Order: sequence, then structure tokens, then C-alpha cells
Amino acid sequence: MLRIENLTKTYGSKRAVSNLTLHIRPGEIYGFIGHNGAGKTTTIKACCGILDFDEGDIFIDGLSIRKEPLECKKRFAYIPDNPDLYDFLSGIKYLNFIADVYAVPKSEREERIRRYSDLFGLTSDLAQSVSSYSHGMKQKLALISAFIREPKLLMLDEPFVGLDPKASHMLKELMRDLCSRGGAIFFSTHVLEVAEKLCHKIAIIKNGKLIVSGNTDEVRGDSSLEQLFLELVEG
Amino acid sequence: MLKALIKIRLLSLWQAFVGRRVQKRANKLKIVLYTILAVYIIASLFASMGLIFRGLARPLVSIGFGWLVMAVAAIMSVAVSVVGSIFMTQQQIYEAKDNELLLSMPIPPSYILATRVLMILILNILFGIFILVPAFFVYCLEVPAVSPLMIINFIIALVLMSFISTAISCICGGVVAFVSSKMRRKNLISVVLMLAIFFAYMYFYMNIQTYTAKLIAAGAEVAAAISKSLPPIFHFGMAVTGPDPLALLLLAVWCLAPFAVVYYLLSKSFIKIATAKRGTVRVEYRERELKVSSVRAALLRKELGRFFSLPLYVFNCSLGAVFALIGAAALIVKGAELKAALYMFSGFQALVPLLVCAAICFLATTNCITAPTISLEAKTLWLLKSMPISAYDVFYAKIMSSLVVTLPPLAILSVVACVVFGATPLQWLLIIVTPLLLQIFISLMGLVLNLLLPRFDWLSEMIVIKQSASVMAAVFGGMAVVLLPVLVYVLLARNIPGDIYLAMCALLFLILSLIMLAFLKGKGAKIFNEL
Repeated sequence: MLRIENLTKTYGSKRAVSNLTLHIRPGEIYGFIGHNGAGKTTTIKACCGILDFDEGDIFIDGLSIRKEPLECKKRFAYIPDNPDLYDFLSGIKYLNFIADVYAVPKSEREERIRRYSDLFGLTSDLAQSVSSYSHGMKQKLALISAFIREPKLLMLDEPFVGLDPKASHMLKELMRDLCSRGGAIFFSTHVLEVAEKLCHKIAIIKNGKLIVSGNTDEVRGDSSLEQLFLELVEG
Repeated sequence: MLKALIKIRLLSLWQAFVGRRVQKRANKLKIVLYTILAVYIIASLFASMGLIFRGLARPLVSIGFGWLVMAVAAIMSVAVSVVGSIFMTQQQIYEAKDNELLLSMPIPPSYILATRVLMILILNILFGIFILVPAFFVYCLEVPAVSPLMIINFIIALVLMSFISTAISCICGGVVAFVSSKMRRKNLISVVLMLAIFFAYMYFYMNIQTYTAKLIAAGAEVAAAISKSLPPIFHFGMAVTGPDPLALLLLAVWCLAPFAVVYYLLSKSFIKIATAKRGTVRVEYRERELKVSSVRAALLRKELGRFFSLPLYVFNCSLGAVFALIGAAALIVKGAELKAALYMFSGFQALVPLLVCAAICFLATTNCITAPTISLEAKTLWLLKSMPISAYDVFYAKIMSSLVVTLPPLAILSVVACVVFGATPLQWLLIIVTPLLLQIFISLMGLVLNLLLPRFDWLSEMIVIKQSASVMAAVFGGMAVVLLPVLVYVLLARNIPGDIYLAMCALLFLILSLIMLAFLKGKGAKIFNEL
């Protein structure tokens, strides 16, 4: 579903991501772990076509993000670590705007908005302006806007930050559900316990370089993910 | 600690006016250009104020009511200061975003309040300088001698007047914050207030000569009324022109006492104000049928939503559209008189279509909605860039939103002008089409300029809308595009028939628009994708 091949991205003289190769298959939840400034957000943004890159290529559902960006973008949904949404719209207008852009048919969009808003407990707030939303509410709105388009691939940057326990639980359920229907998820997180329990596969990145990747159980071995991460990052 | 707080407040005040980019990355040429621009603006403001008071000073000084000149200046100063600082007061004291952060630090709340009020005071002193200094200068030219005491008293009195302006600003800012917190559409009060202030200013400025004449004719009555009902204003006039130390002392009491009361009330309730949850009126969502739109229609609606949600954006970037509607109404009412006045001059009739068209085109140059539109995306740019839409779809929505707002008022004004001035069918076509083509060019040019000069490091939309390079370049560039053909006609092309010249201008605007469009489709899209 998502193939990153030899991705290299530099900012001036600094190599933010260096020769990174990853393959996320349908049905997989892939956790992307690293210290602050390791290159996680840069990688995810490059996968979304938001950031251009220097070397390598990224394929989404077999299509190159460089050569066919619009076709690629129809297939995934992305949520950044700090979802700055259109403050001047109300929640429902924002969702309807997203549904228009992704051409979600009328009956489906109404049903999906109702379903996901109820699941995240945001229905009663949809008439409010996004500017009045808390960080957690914005995060929920961004997640709802991602799920209503039913993407094949979900790319999330720190999706659990700001979510209450119920919403956090709901998100995990929805992630599993998406994968059970053949979708794939690539997300970054600092919450290692979540990654350990949720992810089929894990990649750890340090200073822009991939240091380990593979099935969660194999990567972790006998130690905990936290222990492994500390060893790898400090080593 | 207090020093650090004052420093950070002064820095934010400086950034509100100048912006961060100038401070961080200024090169010498930029500094020189900004300095020239600043000197030009300051000199223009001083000169315009000086002209207003020049007509007032001589007659009033000659009849012994010289103090009334300074009293009128003081009234204007308080009015301008309050109007100018009311929104800043609302943002600084009642709706400051960093109140909770500062209150969580070991900083006494009194320090936080003191520094916030100090910033409003500084702003009001600046407003006072722009009104009172030219008035005092003009007054000094009319009196036989200027003593050092007069100058000292003037400086002290200017600062004292700023205290009363600050006290009134604090009260008004509180009322605005309270009312807007009770409204669902929080911006509505700002729009209404800005409209009221704008039209009051326009009305005052257009009638300033009448007021001056009335003031001179009824100097004694006005002086008596001020001395009875507006003691601080009266004492200000006497303190400066006397120069009367006792009046200065009384002025100090009149200015500092209300300020002290307001400050005391604010300090008593500051924590409550700072921690008040100022949510909007809560509206429960009721499910309704959703409207389905095309991608471009959805993007256009989003652009219009942003435009109308920012009163500053509406007022600074679509002033021409507002004036076009006012102009159309004025032409309907006073068109016949204007036509008679223009036709009084022999041989002027042939120039009327050109003049009308130039005036409407000039209005179009003040509509620069697209010039800050890329910069305004800033933190939400990720949304557009991660969506399956082309850069041209984004441009299309931005250009169309500008045209939807600006073209109808210009067309209405053109039609009214054609009816009033009895245009021929060809003139009808040219008077309507030429400004519309110019507006299309300006919208395209604004977007191109913003792509070339984007600014994403802003803290407030005001910096992008009022002070960004792309907006200034779009307005001045648009004006140049209108002024150049006018100059060419006056200096070189007067023998060309007016209708043909207008057709040439329309063609020029069309060609320029096509060039801009080609740029946007090619290099513009590339620049956008790399932002």
C-alpha cells in the first residue's frame, strides 16, 4: 500500500531523512518511532506530497507521489501532529467541505458523519465554530474527516495526543477495523505501550536513519519496546 | 521581572507594526526603503493634520480663543486614540491569549495588568502625537512668542490626555468584549463597529470645512460650552496656550483620577477577567440535509468563508467594492448635479467617459483580496497540499472569491454611471468591461505577488492583511497600471478619440491578465507546490 524507497530529504546541509526504505502492506498497522527531530514528521509529510524530497521515491497503491500526486492523494488521509483546521468554519461545514473535496456521495457522507461523530462524541458540537474547539476536539474532528472518506491508507502523526481515553480507545478500534478491511495505517507515536499493543510492524528511526524495522514481536524480542528503544537510541 | 514583561510587550507592539521579518532578515536596502516609506507616511499624517488646524488657528487666535484650537485638537486626539486602541484593549486585556500562561508563572497579576495597560497608554501617546503635535505646531506659528514653559506644558499635557484616552479605551474594550462574547457571530460587532467608525470618519472628513466655519463663527459659544461641560479639554487648552500651571495641575487631576478608578476596578477583577471562559453562545447541532458541491465550489465557499470572517480583511482589501456601492448610490441621488457641473466646461463632454472609467478603475485598484490569500493559509496550508486538488484549483477558488466580491459592485457603478452620463452603446460596453478586466488583472496579479512574496510567520492576520509586501505591491502596482494610461493620455495621446483609447486600455488589461494567468498555470503552480 505504501512503499518508501531510498527516501532522502535534506534541509540546507542537514540530512533530515537518509536513504529510508519501508514497505507497508494492506492490512498492516505500522508504527514509526523515534526521538524528537529524528525525521518522522518529515517522512510522513513527504509520503503525503506536502514536502518534496531529494532522492528516492514513494509509492502509494503502486502510484508514485511525485508523478501522480493527485491520484495518490485520493487514496490516503493524513492528520498532522497539530491539526490546524479552518477556524472560520463550523465543525459540520468543515466535514462537508472535506466530503466535497473527496467527492463522498450525499447519503454516504451523511451516514458517515453521523456515525463517526457519534463514536467520537462530537455530534452535539458540530454546529460550533472550529475556533471554539479544544485541541482534543480538533483532533477528533480531523479524525472524523479522515474516516468519512474511507481511505485505503491512513497516515497519522502523533494521533493520540490530546485525545481522551474513550476517544483514544475508539481510534484504536477504528484503526484495527480499517486494517481488517484491507486498509493500511502508518503512524508515528511516542507512546510506546500503544505501539507495542497496536502495531503489526514497527520501524525505529534515529537521526534520519532507519535503525530497525520488522514485526513488532521480532523487533522487541524478549525485552519491552521501551527498553529496546532506549538501548537503540542511546547506543 | 517587570522589566522582562515590559520588554516582551514592547516587542509584540513593535512586531504588530513592523513584523518579524524586517527585524530578523533585514538587509540595508530594505531598511532604507522601509525608512523612506515610514517617513513618507508620518510626514503625510502630520501634514494632513496640520492643514486641518491651519484653517482653524488664525481666526481663533485673532479673536482671543487660541486655547480652543488646542481644545479641539484634544477632542480629536481622545476620539482617535479611543477608536484606534479599542480593539487592542479588547485583545490585550479581555481576550489576551497568553493570560493563562503568564498567570501560571510566578509573576504578580498586578505586573501583568500594569504592562498591558502600559502598552495601551503608549499606543494612545502615539495617537496623541499624530494629532496634537501638528496642532501645537500650527498654533505656535500664529502666536507672537513661544515660551519654553509652553512646550514643557504641552508635552506633559499630551501624556496626561493619553491617560484619559486609556481609561475610556479600557471601558469601551470591555463593553466590546462582553457584547461579542454574547453573540454567536463574534465578528459581527467588530464589523458593525468598524463600519460605524469608517462612515463617521468619512462623514466628518467630508464636512470638515463646514465644521471649521461653524466653529469660527460660534467660537465664543463653543468655548463657553467646552469650559462648562468638558473640563479636562478646557484645562488642556489653557495649560498649553496659557501656559497656565494651575490648569495643568487641574488637567492632571481630571486625567489621572478616572484612570486610577478604571485601573483599580481592573486590578480588582483582573484574575476573573483573565480566566473567564469567553466561549461563544453554544448552539446545539441539529442534523440537516447536507449540500453537495463540486471541488471548486467547495473551495470557493471556503475562501469566501475566510474572507467574511475577518472584518480587517473586508475593510482593507475590498474598500473599492464598498466605495463602488456608495458611489452608485451617490450618483443616483446627485448624478444630475455632477453631470451639470462636468458639462459646464466646453469640450469636456468627450472626456467624461474616460474620466468615469478612470475613476471606477481607480476604485478597482484598492480591491486586493488575493494579495494576502496565500499567506493567510499559513498553518492550514497542509490541508490544501494533502488534498487531491491541483494548485490551479486552489488559485481558481482564490481568484473567483475575489471576483465574486468585487465585480458586481463595480458593474453596478458602471451601469449607473452610463445611465447618468447618457453613454452611447459603445461607451456602455467600454465603461463596464474596462474596469472589470482591470479587476480581473489585479486579482490575478495579487495572487502572483503573494506566491512570490509569501509570509507565513505572522502572529496576527492584521500583519499579513495590512503590512505584507504582497499587499502593498498589489495596491501600488494596480495604481500604477491605472495612472500610466491616464498620464500617457494627458501627455501624449489626447488626439486619440476617447472610445478608442478606452478600448486600447481594455485590451491592455486583457493581455496583462492573460500573462498573469499563464504564469499561474505554469511557474505559479510550481511555486505553490514547493511552498
